[in-house]
Amino acid sequence: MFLCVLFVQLVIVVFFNNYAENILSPSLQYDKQYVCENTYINEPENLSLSYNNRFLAYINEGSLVVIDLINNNPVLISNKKFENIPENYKILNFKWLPDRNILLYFCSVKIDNDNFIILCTLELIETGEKVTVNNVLEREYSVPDEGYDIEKIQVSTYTNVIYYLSAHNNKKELNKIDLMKNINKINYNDENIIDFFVSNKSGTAYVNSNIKKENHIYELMGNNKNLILEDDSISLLGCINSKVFLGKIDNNLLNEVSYFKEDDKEVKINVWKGKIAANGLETFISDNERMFFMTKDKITMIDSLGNQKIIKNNIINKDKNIVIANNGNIYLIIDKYNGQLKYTWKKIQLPEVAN
Amino acid sequence: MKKIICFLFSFILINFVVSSILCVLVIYSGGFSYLRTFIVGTIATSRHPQIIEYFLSSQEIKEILNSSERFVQIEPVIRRKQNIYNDTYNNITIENIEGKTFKGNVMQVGNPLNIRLAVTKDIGTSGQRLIDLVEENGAIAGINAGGFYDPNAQGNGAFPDGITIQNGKIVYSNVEDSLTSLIAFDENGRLILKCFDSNKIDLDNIRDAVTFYPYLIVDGKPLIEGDGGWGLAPRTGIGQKADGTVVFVVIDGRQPGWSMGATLRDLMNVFLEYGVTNAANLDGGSSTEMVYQGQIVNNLWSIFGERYIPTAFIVLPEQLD
Repeated sequence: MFLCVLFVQLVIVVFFNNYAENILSPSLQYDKQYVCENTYINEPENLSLSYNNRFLAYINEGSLVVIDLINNNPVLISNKKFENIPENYKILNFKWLPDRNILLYFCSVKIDNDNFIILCTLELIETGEKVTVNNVLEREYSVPDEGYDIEKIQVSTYTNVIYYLSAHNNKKELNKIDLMKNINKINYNDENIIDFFVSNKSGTAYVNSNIKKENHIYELMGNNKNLILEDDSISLLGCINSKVFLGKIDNNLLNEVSYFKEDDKEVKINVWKGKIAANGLETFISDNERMFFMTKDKITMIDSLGNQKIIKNNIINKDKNIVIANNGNIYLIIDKYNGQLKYTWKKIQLPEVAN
Repeated sequence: MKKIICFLFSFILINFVVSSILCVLVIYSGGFSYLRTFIVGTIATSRHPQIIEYFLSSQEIKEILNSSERFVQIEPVIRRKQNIYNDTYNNITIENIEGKTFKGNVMQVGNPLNIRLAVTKDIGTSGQRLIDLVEENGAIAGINAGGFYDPNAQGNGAFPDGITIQNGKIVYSNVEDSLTSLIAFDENGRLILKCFDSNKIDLDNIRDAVTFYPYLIVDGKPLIEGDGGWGLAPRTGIGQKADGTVVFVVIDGRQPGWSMGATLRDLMNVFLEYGVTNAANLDGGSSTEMVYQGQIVNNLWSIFGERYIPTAFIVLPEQLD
């Protein structure tokens, strides 16, 4: 009898101990592998995290996938989500809003012989561990023909504008969608858009383009275009916290990074000097102004003081993907396990201070 | 089957093209005056009023907006009401309402002393989202309040319009030497709707205030003539009953299939149906929002959801004695 009582007590204590561990343990555990069931992953594109790191979204074989990283389950795998939209619709691109769990996405669809792109929003409403998905068709836009693609999307939540770079028939077009959901084309016909970024707070777009082989960077504030600089060696790297970051590239090497503040464009402040191969370089700037330069085989981080550190070397396994969190402090390594998504959170160690 | 589909498609396309042309003719010609007033009023008070200025002069626009029949029409506009929440501790109730062209929410706050004005902490730089304004001020509910400088509909809520008063002090003003309509609360929680000379505001009597217009009801007298001249749109309004209960109203709009919006007359009549004796229109459109306990209560119209706004009327929790 006594032994039975002891045994029951043991079971109860173990049960409540596990329960307490679930509550008290942080939901984010580093260096631990998680597998997301019910997700099929094959050459994912545009892997990116929501602003609070709870959701991971990517495009997989034309479908939009959103994973809840708390419950390790997909909350959306888009196939047919709206009535009257044919099954042959394809996700073109998406963008998380920087300050809320809302994701904008564009998809293309053909209805009879007419081609459309559709702008939708996906809101993920968290109530504790539970997530409710609110998928809204915002607007349809007619496009000339098939083959329309969206290469890049930038947003300003403070001013309710969306900018996107479309590609069609070997031409790129920079467009703006305003509060009333109307589209306006920004660039001139002979203007070749190289890159652009949008300030979330002011809604100003910073555009790097060339016309007749002259490279320039200008700002677009409302309806006003103002030239900032003309220099073939300078590229836009990003815009964060009302700062616009510029990179100087010579002989395929990034050798200098500087920035100017939106309210003081004349003054360029140098952040870093060095050498990083510029071929195939992708740049990401986090909320804490850490710059991540990614090539096929490594990620180099430069912090806001100009200290440099290699985050990840030898990313030669094409099945692995790295996703850096918006706060710049952690990142995900994404992998496949039996066709399902497997991931590991890693901390970013601070770089050693340069002597 | 293909021929029928082609025919239908052509028929719809032709009608669409003809309607677009007719729309312009309606605006120019003056025939179908109600439709003309409705179109002009809706666009002129939206975030893109410049569209209507391509077709009409400022004088013509003003005449049309003022042309709605000059009588105040009181009528019941709420077709359905559903009580969705009773917060007995904080003396707050929330109801869903539905009218002919709109759906919205009404919040009644029993203790007017719990109403405060929240102002963005980044005034001059940017606004804040209502959810953040409510949370950062320790409040449990709120609605958007005054308007803001919004050039090309790209304002980020940095600059409130008119005079903004918080805790008895003017925190922002872009008004000089003119009469300004204030929507204010005094220290006793009384809603004051009054135009003040910007140089002679009695700050001893006013605790919090924003500027917006028009007033809907003053001292029991409904004021909106005709439909108000501003067409259908999302609306936010604030009012007070004789017993001091403060009434917040938000009306969703520009969402076909859900809610097209309300006229100013509709908004006034909603307040009248709740027995309000003083009420005013607040900033509507994409700013219209109501928050309760960290949740957005109404259906926001903007693609992004919440806008960044400069001011909000918030509700503090009931204090223990």
